[in-house]
Amino acid sequence: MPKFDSGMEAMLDMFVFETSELLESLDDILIRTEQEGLSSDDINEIFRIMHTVKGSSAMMGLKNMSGLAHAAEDLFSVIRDDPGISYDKAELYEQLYKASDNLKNETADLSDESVPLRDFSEEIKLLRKTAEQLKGGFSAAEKVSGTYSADCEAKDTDDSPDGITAFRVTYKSSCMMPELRAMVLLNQLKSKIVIVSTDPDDLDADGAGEAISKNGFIIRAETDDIKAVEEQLNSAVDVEKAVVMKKQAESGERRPETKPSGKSGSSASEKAVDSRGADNKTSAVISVKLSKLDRLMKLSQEIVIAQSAVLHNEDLAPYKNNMSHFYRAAMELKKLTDELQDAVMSVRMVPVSVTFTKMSRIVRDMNASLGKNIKLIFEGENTEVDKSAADMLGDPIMHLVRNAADHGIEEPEKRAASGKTEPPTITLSAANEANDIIIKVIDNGRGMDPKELIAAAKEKGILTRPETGYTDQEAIELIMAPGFSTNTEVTQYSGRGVGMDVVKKNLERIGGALTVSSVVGEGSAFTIRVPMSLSISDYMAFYIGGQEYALPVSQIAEVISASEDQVITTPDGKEVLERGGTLYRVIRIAERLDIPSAKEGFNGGIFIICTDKSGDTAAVSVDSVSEEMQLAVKPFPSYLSGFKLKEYGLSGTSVLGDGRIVIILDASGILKGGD
Amino acid sequence: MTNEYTGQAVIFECADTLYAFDISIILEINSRSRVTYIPKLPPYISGVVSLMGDVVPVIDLRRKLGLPEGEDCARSCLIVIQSADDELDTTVTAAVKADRVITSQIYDPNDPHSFMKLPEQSVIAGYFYDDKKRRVSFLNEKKLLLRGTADEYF
Repeated sequence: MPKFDSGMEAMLDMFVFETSELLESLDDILIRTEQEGLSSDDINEIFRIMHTVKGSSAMMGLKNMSGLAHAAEDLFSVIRDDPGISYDKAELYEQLYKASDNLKNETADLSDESVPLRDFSEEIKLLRKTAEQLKGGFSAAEKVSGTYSADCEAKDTDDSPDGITAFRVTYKSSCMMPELRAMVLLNQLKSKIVIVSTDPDDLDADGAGEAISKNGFIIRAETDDIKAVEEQLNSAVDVEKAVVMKKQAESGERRPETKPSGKSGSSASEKAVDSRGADNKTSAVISVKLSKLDRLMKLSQEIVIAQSAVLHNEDLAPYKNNMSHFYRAAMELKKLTDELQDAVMSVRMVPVSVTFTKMSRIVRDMNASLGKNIKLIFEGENTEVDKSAADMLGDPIMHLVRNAADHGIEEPEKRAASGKTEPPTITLSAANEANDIIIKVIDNGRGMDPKELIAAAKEKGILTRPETGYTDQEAIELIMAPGFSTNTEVTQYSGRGVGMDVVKKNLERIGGALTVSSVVGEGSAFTIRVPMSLSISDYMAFYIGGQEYALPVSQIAEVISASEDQVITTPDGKEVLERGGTLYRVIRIAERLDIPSAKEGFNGGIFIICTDKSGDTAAVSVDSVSEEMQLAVKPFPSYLSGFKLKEYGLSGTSVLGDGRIVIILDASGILKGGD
Repeated sequence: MTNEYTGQAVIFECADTLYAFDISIILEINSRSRVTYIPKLPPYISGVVSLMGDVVPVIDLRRKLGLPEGEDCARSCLIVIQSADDELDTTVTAAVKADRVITSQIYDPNDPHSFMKLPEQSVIAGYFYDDKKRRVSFLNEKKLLLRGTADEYF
């Protein structure tokens, strides 16, 4: 049995998405304003968020959530009405954070039927109490009721012209927020009948709900099949009864004023501005299901593959020299598909700051309870990553940040005792490298002591070698060994049974890696490296041992042909190649990679001068050059992720139109392997 | 049928021995794909193949089980299986090289008369006999896909 009202299943995804977004922006505002103070814009925004959450959760039939949001909304309406009001800020924020967390958790657990709906009555009571205290006595209910004037009192008759039928829909008294039910109902009806007008006409207006509970919701519509509409109305959620209204005999009498009157002019115009703003927002941004984007991306890749199957079709070979028009058209096509690729990719790209800012809240909470006053610093937060990567990075980053705050950063006394004067920081940085996204979580805390780690590992019985057989780096890596993180002192934040080994495993599952470095007394750095789910760029393909390999064009400085005698062997056995006054060290890639059938020596005589990000350069010998092509690169299947292919400069694969697989290399791996 | 659970085994030949997988884990049997060698992998992974655009690792059964090397022949094929990957806690799709697929047959893993179970940790889950009374080794695909060499199991 779902927790929300039946008939709302289709809305669930949208509800969860929108509510989570709203609550996240609420958190953002709270964190930002906790130190600075609330501006009237912020107050309005918080009010709006709570109002929307209240409305949409009531629509889903989630009384607990809408009740909680309602209480928070009321509290803010007090502050909004009297910005000069004084309140206990710390207490208020604590309540708001708690409300936000409660709403978030509830939203997250919505589709999990094993978790029962939570009861928020305590929290609601608290919020109400705070609101009461602020107001000094007025009850929240008093304020909203009575804004609707008497001129929409119940009438049994209607004066609509011929052809238009009026229906009166009365909602059950148990129905919360009937105006939202009415809105849903209207949307359902719109596709079937022409709606002329409704009463009340503005369902967004304050007091519309009360009017509906009092007088019912009146829909005037053009329809031929009155019975069917009546039936549909009667079967709608929470509807007590729906009736067709009788025509009014006297045509002279004017229709009652449908505009809610009795509202002050200023607030009415405010409303108008408000809804205009909302309109703009909806037209500028739409939310799309990720699965649709996935399909779009897959299709656009297929187009590139199909295009190359056409352009490089072997049937064209005989005409190759006489096809200038064909190639011109092909060029045009390529330009367009390039652009399509870029556009599709960019749609899926989100700045990694979306994930980073969530960590602010965690650090803020941990500061509050641990008293460490840690500063969270972002670097490269505008780096764009694929949406799926951003989602998937959330958990590992959160785990690392928690660990850094909990274990990495020292308690203030210890920190002072060790003579550190700089404030404790955790730095979150993001960058792109080759086809990977690199996320670093760096703290300037105590660092990890290899000896302590070995001792701890020994105690847990997870050492596979004698104690002395570990280098410092290997000792530090023990922190990611299975079974290491079973913390005896479980704190509130880390040690929830999820160890570093799980973080590492989860990253490996998607073809990523987790590495760690640490200096005692200076801090630790955890580096997450995950392949971009997919990237398309230009590659230069070449043959080694009969198999096609490719390097990104961006990593290639030059492709040269040189004979054996141009390669000089230095006295210590290193080979270098002289070219234009520069010496390049030679990397025999076939030997490096143990490619069995590769040619001996430099028969091919082709050297690719490649450069990695750090500026390191070398001449890589290959058998022959194939062609430059555009490739959609995928990481190796996760089954192979444990084999350290990356360390040898093997970064992924690409499938060509004819099914051939090209192995993608990465210059930094190739060059590093030479040391 | 008196038995509650029976399965269908797909029987194939590799190095003159008969092996079988349960049909439920087999995605397809493919005889066309060309295997692309990937350097720096253990010998029992021959490389990768592309199946409808997905790149899938190829397990060389002979090497994995320590059987004598053999040449690919006209009826060599790849049996594409999908299994839980316990090490990474995910599912893995892999292609297993076989000399030829022979037939499929109903088997009952819970009938001690027709199915001889081996201890859990073995890459061979058990043995049964086919219609022609030849012995068939029924493979435990999860153990087969563990990243290690044959000597860990025998």
